[in-house]
Amino acid sequence: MMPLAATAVDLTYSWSQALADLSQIAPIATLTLFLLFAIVVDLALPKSRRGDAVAMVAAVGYVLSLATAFYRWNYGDNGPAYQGYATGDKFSLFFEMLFAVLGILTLAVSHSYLKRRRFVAGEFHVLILAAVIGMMVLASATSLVTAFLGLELLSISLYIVCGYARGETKSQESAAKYLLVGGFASAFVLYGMALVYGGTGTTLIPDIAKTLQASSSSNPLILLGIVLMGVGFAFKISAAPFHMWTPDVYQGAPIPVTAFMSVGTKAAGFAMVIRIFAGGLPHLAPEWQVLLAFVAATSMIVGNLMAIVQSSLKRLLAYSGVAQAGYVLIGVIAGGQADPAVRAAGLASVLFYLFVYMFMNFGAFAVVTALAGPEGDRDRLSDLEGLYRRSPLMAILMTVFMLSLAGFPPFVGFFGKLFLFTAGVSAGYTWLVVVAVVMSVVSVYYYVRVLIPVWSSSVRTDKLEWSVSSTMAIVLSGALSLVLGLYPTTVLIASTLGVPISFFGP
Amino acid sequence: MNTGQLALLVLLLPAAGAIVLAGRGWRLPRIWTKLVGPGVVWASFVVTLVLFINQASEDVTYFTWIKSGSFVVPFNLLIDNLSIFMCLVITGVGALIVTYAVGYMAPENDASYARFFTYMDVFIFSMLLLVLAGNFVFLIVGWALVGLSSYLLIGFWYQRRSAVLAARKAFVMNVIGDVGMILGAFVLFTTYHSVTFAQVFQSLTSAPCLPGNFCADIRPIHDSSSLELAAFLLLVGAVAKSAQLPLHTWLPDAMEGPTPVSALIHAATMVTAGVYLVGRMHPIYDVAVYAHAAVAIIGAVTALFAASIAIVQTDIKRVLAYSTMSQIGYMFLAVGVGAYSAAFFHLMAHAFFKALLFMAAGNVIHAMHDEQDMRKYGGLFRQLPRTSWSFLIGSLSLVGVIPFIGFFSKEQILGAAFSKPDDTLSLIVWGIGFVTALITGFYTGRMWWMSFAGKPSPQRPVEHPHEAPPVMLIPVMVLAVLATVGGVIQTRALGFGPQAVSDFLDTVVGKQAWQGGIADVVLSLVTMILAGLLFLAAYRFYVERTWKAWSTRFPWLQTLLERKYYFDEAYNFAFVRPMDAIAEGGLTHVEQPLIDGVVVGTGLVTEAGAGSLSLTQSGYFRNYVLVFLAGACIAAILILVRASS
Amino acid sequence: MLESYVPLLIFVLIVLGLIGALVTLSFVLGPNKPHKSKLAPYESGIVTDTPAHKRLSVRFYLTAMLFIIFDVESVFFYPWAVIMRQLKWFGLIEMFVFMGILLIALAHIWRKGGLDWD
Repeated sequence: MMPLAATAVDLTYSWSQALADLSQIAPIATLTLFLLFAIVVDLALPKSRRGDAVAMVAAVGYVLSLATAFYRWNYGDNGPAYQGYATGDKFSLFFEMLFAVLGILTLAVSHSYLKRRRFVAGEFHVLILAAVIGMMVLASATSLVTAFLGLELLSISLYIVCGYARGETKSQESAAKYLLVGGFASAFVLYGMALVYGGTGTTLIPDIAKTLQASSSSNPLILLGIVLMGVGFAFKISAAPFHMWTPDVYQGAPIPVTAFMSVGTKAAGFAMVIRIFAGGLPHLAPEWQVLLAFVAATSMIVGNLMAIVQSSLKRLLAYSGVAQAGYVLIGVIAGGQADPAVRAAGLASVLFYLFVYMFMNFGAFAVVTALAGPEGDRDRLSDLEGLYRRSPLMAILMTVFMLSLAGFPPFVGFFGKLFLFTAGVSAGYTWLVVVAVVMSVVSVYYYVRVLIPVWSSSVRTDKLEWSVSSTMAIVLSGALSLVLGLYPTTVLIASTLGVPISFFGP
Repeated sequence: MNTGQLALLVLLLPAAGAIVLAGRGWRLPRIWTKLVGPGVVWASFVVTLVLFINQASEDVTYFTWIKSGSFVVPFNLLIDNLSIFMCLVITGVGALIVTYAVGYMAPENDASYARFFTYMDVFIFSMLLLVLAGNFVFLIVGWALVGLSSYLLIGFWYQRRSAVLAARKAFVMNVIGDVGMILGAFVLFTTYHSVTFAQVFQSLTSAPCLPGNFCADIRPIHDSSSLELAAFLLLVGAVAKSAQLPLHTWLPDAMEGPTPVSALIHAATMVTAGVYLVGRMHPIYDVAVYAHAAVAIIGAVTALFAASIAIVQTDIKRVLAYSTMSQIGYMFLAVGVGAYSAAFFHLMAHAFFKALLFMAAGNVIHAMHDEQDMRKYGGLFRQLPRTSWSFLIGSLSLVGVIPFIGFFSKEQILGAAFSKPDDTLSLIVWGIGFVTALITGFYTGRMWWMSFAGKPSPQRPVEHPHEAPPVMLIPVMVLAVLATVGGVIQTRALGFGPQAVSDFLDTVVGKQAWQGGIADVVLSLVTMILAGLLFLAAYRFYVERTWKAWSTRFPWLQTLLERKYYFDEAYNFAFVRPMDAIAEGGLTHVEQPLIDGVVVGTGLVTEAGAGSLSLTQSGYFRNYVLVFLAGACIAAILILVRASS
Repeated sequence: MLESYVPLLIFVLIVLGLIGALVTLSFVLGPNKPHKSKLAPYESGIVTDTPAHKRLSVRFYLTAMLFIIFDVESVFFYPWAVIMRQLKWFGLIEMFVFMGILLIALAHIWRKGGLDWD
């Protein structure tokens, strides 16, 4: 039997150590503080002013968290904290910045949406805050236990906000389904983690890598653990064939939630995959690469083909998200190669893609929020008819988002795909890249199909309203989809820096 | 302004027009659309002329887009004689056609009117990007964007089901081509580690590639399988875009679009992109001999195939569509045997006379209140004299009669194929091209006589048709003049005289390696006389009916041709129906249970307390878990196989 | 590596075998004479007159869940209490922070009416 690590924990925990640890997770700590503050504000203020006040608190929290992460990116001494259970390395900071920006975007879009649909705003923002914290914890976790903690914090908050439109049966359906399947997947992940722990005797990811490096033979326990965790991760990033929940949940959930989830859970899921698979199990890369290659190919094929027949924009984007997960997995697979250059290129391409995917996908959803009336979301393709007469700006931005998702240069989606695919080729997975190229050409069809109603000269003139904040969020997303496409270098450098070679071991 | 700025201006003027029209077009008075739509194309034409006069030749890199290790994607435009030539054709003929559309699209309401010109300007921009691109990334972008604008324009009347279906078909075929293109560029990239034309071609030659002599004197290097693969994949793209066999079925259906679209996109410019591609990639095709031969064979077979179908078509635009396929087949034939400049001369000539024919046909259709069936015309010569004359000039040019431009361009191709030394393949494709030329004479005659000669058909929708307004007539006449006298710039088909186009393009695509003899000239004259006689013979068949219709003698042939060699049926059987079945299956067995699950499950969920439980019992959650577990099992098996191997 | 788990496997097999044997034996050996009154739902000898699946107020579940949540949270006090002295002041203050967070949650529930029965 493997000797379980019965190390005596050093109980002397000095103030300076506490401060150092806290500063490693400063962006998370900041946001947590503001979460508590938001709850208090929500309790203390009279009902009429709660929503705005909580939104304000949340906004300050996100901005401060972003600033903290940015500061630490540039000046912090980034390293492990809490005896190796968490870390403040650049990888986690990259994702923390991503999630903070996502939080700001979600806040900007959801606030007016909640008002229009007459939902209680305070708790919504608090829940989204909690979900963002969960994502950040996930990104900075270097222990299986911490990762699971973040995963559950993220998931449970999302289960609730999915059912936020309580009067709507679809929303209830969405929450119930997400809860059930999500619980199922969490169980898979937990079993997998337990098996890996059983096989290696530690939950600390760097130690797992060291243990596996020492033992040459592949342990069936760990292999089974990889399968179970891989399945759970695939669920979180909504990759086929574990994607079945995605269209239903996306369709039922209120649009800002869908927008948030579609980007957030995916990014968090990938952070976890990279941290655990590429960081903790690099010596078993050939095994999990097979698993992920299967999942990637299935996702690209199923996602793209199913998206073609959709008439609901939310479902269409859900399937598109399934396909996109497949593309991103190519980068993760390349991140398992032994050659450090290929590995770094693969993981950097994943980070880059997730960052830019946020803007194009969130933007597309955000445009649709304005179609929603007090009685519910409107997301049929036909609801977009004549958008360019109702709002030329939004029509142009929607075009940018769709073309970027389809991978047209000069939009940023093109570069995202380019980096992923080049990484895939240099990792020797040419067949997968060929599948990806073929399927992404197929995808042009349904992305363009969205644009036809947008630019049709229909006479529909019902008024659409984008609040100032959501217009700003959409314009920002659109501008970045274009500007980052023209000058992708900055983000590319950041995502390259975000991949600390050190945590792979030798 | 320097060359780079001018080239950027050429490219961005139509884009600016499109943006203006898209943003504000439908709110502004119609006169704005009328001015901006064609105006930007004319402006672009003028700038191109400046480039032409300056004799610009440069590979301009505006900025380096991506630099990541050895991987560099610059934003560069390649301005050389070939791209300037293409730009002249695109903006020149394009401007005439867009001007014509001002009249043709007049019945549309303001919003649709603006939308039409938006799409047209987007198309011009995309096409210019395609020909100016200096690397594969932008080539593919232009390539995809022209497909996109073609899709939008074919489906312009999106209320018509047939138009939407035709647009979808064109899109699917073009996507097949795009995949080929992308994979081809991909193979080149993995082989030569560069995406710019200059560097890829440089890898193919020992001589340095300078902007002036763009790899003109290429030294043969060894053919390789990856090069052949790339060449074949690029050819897939070219074949799809240029509607060559076997990816041709979309072009006739594309005639559902407005006639100016057919003239601009599906005759003069976009469909010739395949020829441009092979011409631009000639350093590759010069080395990849098998792919190069395939180009010639595909071209020749398509030329004959499409011409034979054109004999039985009754829709005037469809006759012209098949004729377009056939003529592009000639161009493929020419680039396939290595007579690049002859191909581009024919490209230009074809742009002139085919745009002329389409626009003249548009005038007829306009006068006939949207009737396109030639059998319901008849006797239009007296009533529409100007259109009839223009149409006749276009027809004779298509048949290849001296002194029209079509004679010089087509016969130069045939002459080049015939005289290519020591090449059996060239002789064979010449034979096919010769037969095609005769058939061309016949179907063109049939079209002209049926429409304009004889007595008015009793089914004619309009008793006293009116000639089109000047805005529609003048562009037609300009092209008629060009088609009549344009041939004098290159008369090599007669063995003497100037060869302006070849002189202009030889620096880029390389000089034709062999010279024709007197035999070519004699053969061209024979071809012309025979084709001309068949043109006249059609009068006897279809107007006087003194000669018994050939179809009564060979009814099976008639059916075969009317069915277009059963290509559509075969594709339906082989691809469409299985795909439909799969999609349908996915919809009924996977999608609908889930959607129904929402509806059916609704009542159960709302029951308090037991919500989640009843959901699991409704059977739909079970589906999720089933797929989930199946996926997990597959994953486990895969890993076990991998681990044990 | 896996050999060390063999005793566990044997143990599991013995347990499964024993359970299986007991159930099978009682099924095979025991007399089985079904009768209507024997098969009726049995509850302390009194015949049931209402459906067994009785609906409870959703408040009941809410209160139950809240109880469990706070119950679980209070478990964290035990390990802290054991090593409180070694953790010194830092541990004490940290625990107050923890309690403060719990208090905010409690206040939230209270204020939002989570503890009201009506």
